[in-house]
Amino acid sequence: MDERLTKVRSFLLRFLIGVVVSFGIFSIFLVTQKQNPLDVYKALVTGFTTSKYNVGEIWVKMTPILIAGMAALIPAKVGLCNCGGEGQLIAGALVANITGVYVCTDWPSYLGIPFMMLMAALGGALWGAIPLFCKMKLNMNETLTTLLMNYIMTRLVAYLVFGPIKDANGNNYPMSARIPEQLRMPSFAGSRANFTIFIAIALAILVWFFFNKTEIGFKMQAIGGNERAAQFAGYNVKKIQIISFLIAAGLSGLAGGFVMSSVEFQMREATASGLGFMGFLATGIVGDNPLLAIPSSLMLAALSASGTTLELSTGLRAAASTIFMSIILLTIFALGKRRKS
Amino acid sequence: MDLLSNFLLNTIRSGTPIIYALIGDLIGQRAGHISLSVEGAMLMGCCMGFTTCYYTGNLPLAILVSMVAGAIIGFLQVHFNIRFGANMFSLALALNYFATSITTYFGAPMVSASIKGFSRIAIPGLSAIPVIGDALFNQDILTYFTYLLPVIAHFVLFKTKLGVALRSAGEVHQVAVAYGYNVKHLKYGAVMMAGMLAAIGGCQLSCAYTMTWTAEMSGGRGFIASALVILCSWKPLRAYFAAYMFGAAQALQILFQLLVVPIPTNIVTMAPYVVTIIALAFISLNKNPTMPEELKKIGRPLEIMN
Amino acid sequence: MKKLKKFIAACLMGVMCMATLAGCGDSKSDSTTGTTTSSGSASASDAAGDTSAPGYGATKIGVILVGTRDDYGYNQGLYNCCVQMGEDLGVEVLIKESVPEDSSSQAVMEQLIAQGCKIIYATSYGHREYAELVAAEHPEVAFYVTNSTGEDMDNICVFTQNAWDAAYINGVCAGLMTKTNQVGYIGSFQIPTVISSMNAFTLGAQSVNPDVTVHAVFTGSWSDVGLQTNAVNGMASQNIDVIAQFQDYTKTIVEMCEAAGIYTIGYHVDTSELAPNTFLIGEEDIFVRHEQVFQDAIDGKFTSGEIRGGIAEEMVSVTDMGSVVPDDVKAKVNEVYDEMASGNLSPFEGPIYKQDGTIAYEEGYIPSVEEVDGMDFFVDGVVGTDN
Repeated sequence: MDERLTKVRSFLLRFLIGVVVSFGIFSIFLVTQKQNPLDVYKALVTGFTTSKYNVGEIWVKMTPILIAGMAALIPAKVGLCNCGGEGQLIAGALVANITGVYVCTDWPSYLGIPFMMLMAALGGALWGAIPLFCKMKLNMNETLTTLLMNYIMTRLVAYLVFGPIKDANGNNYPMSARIPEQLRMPSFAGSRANFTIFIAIALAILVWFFFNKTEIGFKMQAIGGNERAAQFAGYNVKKIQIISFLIAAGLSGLAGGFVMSSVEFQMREATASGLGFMGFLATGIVGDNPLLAIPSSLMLAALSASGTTLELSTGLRAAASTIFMSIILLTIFALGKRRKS
Repeated sequence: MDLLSNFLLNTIRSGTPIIYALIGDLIGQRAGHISLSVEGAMLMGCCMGFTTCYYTGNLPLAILVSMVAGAIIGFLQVHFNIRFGANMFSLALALNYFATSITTYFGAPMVSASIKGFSRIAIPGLSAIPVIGDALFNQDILTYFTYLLPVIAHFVLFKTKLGVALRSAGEVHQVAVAYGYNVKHLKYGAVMMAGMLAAIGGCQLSCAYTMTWTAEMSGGRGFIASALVILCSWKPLRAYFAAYMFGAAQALQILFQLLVVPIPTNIVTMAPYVVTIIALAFISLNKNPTMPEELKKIGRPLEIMN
Repeated sequence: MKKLKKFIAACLMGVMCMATLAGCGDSKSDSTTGTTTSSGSASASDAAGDTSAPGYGATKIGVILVGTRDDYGYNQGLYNCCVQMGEDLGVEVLIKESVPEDSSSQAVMEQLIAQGCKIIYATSYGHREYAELVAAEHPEVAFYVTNSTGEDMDNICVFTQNAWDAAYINGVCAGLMTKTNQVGYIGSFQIPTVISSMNAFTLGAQSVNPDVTVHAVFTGSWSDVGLQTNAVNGMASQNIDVIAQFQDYTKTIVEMCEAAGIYTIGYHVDTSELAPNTFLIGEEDIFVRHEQVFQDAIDGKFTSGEIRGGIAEEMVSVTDMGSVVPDDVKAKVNEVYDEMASGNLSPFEGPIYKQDGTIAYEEGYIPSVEEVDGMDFFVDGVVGTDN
C-alpha cells in the first residue's frame, strides 16, 4: 500500500517536473522566435476549446494512436516486441478500402461497415502473421522483421495505388477509389470525430482490466517477465504468444479500418502513415500501462493536430508544434526510472 | 557518357549516404545498440551542412558542423537509453520527430538557397576507364571516402583492440567487463559515431549530390540503412553490396522509364527490404550466427515510469 | 490503492470533460451529411450583389499550398499572387503552405473557415476532393480549386489552365534549338493535365522539326529532388540537349541543366536568372483573372462551374526567351504565339497519331476541351511508357 502510494506520488511529481521543464524549454525557443510564450499557449488552448471541429480532430487522431498503442503493448506483456503496428495499421486501411470498393459496394451500412472492419482486422493480423511465423518457426528476431515489414507495406501501397487499385475515374492520379457513402462512419455534428473514440478508450480499459485484474492476464505477464520460468511453470508459452500477437496485429488493422472509414475513404501513398509509430511511442513512454496510454495518446494526438492552429493564429511555422511534442517526449524519457549502471 | 555509365553513377551517388549511415549503425549495433535515430542524424547533417555551406562556403567546416549535429543525436540516443532506461525504438522515433521538426523549422528559409557545394573531382587516369571510369572516379570527395570506409571499419572492428572491445560489449557483457573494458564508454562512443557518420552522409546528400535543401530531405534513407545492417550480417565489407543494391534500385526508377521497361518502379524499391528479410531468415537459421548477442535481447522493458 | 484509483478516475474524468467540451463547443452550422450534388451550371446569383451567394462580403481569404513559397515554381507564383491580391482587394489573406494532398487538407480548410475565411482557394490537384467535403458543410463559403475533375457543386468554382497552349509554344522553341533532335520531358504524374501538356509540347516541336523525339519520364511526385536529379542525369547520358518539365519545384532541374550545358525550359515562373546560359523559355502562370474573380465573389457575384482558358484567355503565358535564343528563333516563336493568342491555332488540330501509329484525331478535327481533359495517350514521337 505504501509502495503504491510512493509510486503514484513520485509519478505525479515527475509528471509535474516534466511539464514545467518542457514548457520552460519550449518557452525559451518561442522567445528566440520573437513570440510571447503566454500568447502561444493561450492560442493552443483556445484553438481547441472554441472550435468543435478542432476538438474532433484530436479524437480523430487519438483513436488509431490509442489502438495501435495497445497493439504494441499486448505483445510486450508476453515478451514479444511488435514494431510493426505501422504496417499492420496501413494493411488494415488498405484491406478496408478494397473491401469497401470492390466487395461491399452495395451492402447496407449495418452489414457493410462491420464486415469491412472485420476484414481490416484480418488484414492487419495477416500482415503480422508473417513476422510471427518467422519468429516461431525460423527463430528470427521479431523486432527487426516487424520493422522491415512496415517499409514493405508502404512500398506495396505505393505500387497498388499507382497500378492495380488506382481509381479508374481518378484521371490516372495515384489514389484508389473512394469507399461508397453508406460505408463511411457517421460523425458527430460539426466535426470528423465519431464513436470509434469510445471503442478505443473502452479497449484500453479492457486491456488494463485483463492484465491487472484477471488471473489469466496476470499469469500471461509472467511470460513477459521471464519466458523460461514461465515455460517451466507449465504455460504454453508459444500458443499464448501467437494468440496475443495476432490479436494485437488485428487490432492495428482494425485501427486502420477505422481511419479508412472515418476520414480517409481512399488509399493514397501516404494514407494513415505515422499513426502506428505514434501508438508505439504513446505506450512506450508510459511503460506499457494501458490506462496511462489514454492520456498519453490524447497528448500526442492533440500536439500533432495543433500545428495548423498554431500557424494560423501565431504565424509560427507548423513544425513548431512538433518541436514542442519532441521536447515533451524527450523530457518524459529523461524522467524515467534511473537504471542502475 | 552512355546510359550504363550513368546508371552506375547514379547508383553510387544514391548509395553514398546509405553507406555512411549503414557503417555508422553497424558499429553501434556491434556494440549492442540499434540506432534508428540515424535517420534524424542524417537529416541534421543535411540541414546543418547545407546551412554552413551557405553562410560560410567553407566545406570542411560544413562537414565538421554536420558531425557535431550527428554526434548530439547519437549522444541523446545512447544516453537516454543507458541513463534513463528509455526504449531504443521509442527514443529513436522521438529523436527523429525532433530532428525533422527542428530542421523543417529552421531550414525553411534555406529552401530556395543555392550553394556551391562539393564539386566532383575526377581522378586523372582512372576516370578515363570506359564505362566505370566516370561513374567511380569522377565523384565528390565524400563519396571517395565511402570507398574506403567499410574497409576501415572492418579493420578497426576485427584487427584492433578497440574493435575487439566494442564487439565484446555487444556480445557478452560480462566478458567485456572481465577484460576491463568499460562497456558504457564503448557504447557511448559507438552510438555517437553512428550519429556522426550518418550526419556526414546527410551532408553529402545536400552539399554534393543535390546541392539543395528541402524539408525531410533524407526521405527514409536512415531507416533503410539501419535495416540494411542486418543484410550485411553485421560485417562491414558487405556494406558495398547492400548500399549499392539500394542505390541501384533508386537509379533504376528513372532508368526503366528511359528504356521503357514495364517493371513498376515500386516493386523495384520494395526489393531491398524483401531481400533483407530473406537474408535475416538465413542468418537466423545459420548454425554460426553473426548477430551480436545483445541485439537478441532487445524488446520492450516493461517498466519505464513507475 | 485508493490514491491510484482516484488518479485513474481523475484521468477518465478529464477525458470526459474534454468530450463534453466538444459537445458544447461552437455549435455552428448543422451538418448536412453527404455531398450535395447539383446541376453544375452557373449558380443562382442573378442580380449584382447577391448577399446569400457564397463568399459574399468576405474579409478573409484562405489559401492552401501543397508546397512552399520558395519553390521557384507553382507555389511561389501563387504565393506572390495571393499576397498581391490581398493588398489590391483590401482583404486579409491567410496562406498555409505545405498542406499535403490528403485528409489533413480537410482539417486545414476547416480551420481557415473557423478563423473567418469566406473564400477558400485550394491550389493543388489532390486537394479537390477534400475541398468538396468541406464545401458540403459550408454552403456560404466560396471554394476555388484548380485543374481537376470532381463533383459539381454550387459553391465550388474550378480554375483550369489550358497549360497545353504554353507547352506548344515551348515545344516550338525546343524544336528549333535542339541540335541532336533528342528532347527530354520530366513530368510528375500521368494525369491528363500533364499528358496533354507533354503532347502539346511534342506537337509544337514537331511542327518546326519533324524529326524530334521526346523522351518522357514521370517522377511520381511534384517535387522529389532526388528523382529530378536522377532524371536529368539519365537524360544527359542519352544525348538529350533540351529538357522541359512539368513540376512544382523547378529549381533543381533548371540548375542541373545549366551545369550540364543542356538547354532548359522552365515552368510556372521565370527562372532565367538561374540558367543564364541555357534558359530558353518557360511556361508562366498568370493570375490576372484571379483578382477579378475573387472581387466578384466578395461582391456577391460568385459563379460555380469552371473558369478556364489558355493563352488567348490570359490564363497562361510564356516567359520572355533567354538570351541564348537567336533572333530568328525568337521571331518564329513570337509568330506562333501571336497566332495562338488570336485564337487561330489549336495545338491539337488533327491529324494526330498515337504512339502505336493509330490515328487519334482526324485531319482538321479539333478536340473539345473535355476531350483534351481526358487525354490518356502519348502522341507519336514520344518515347515513354504509360503504366
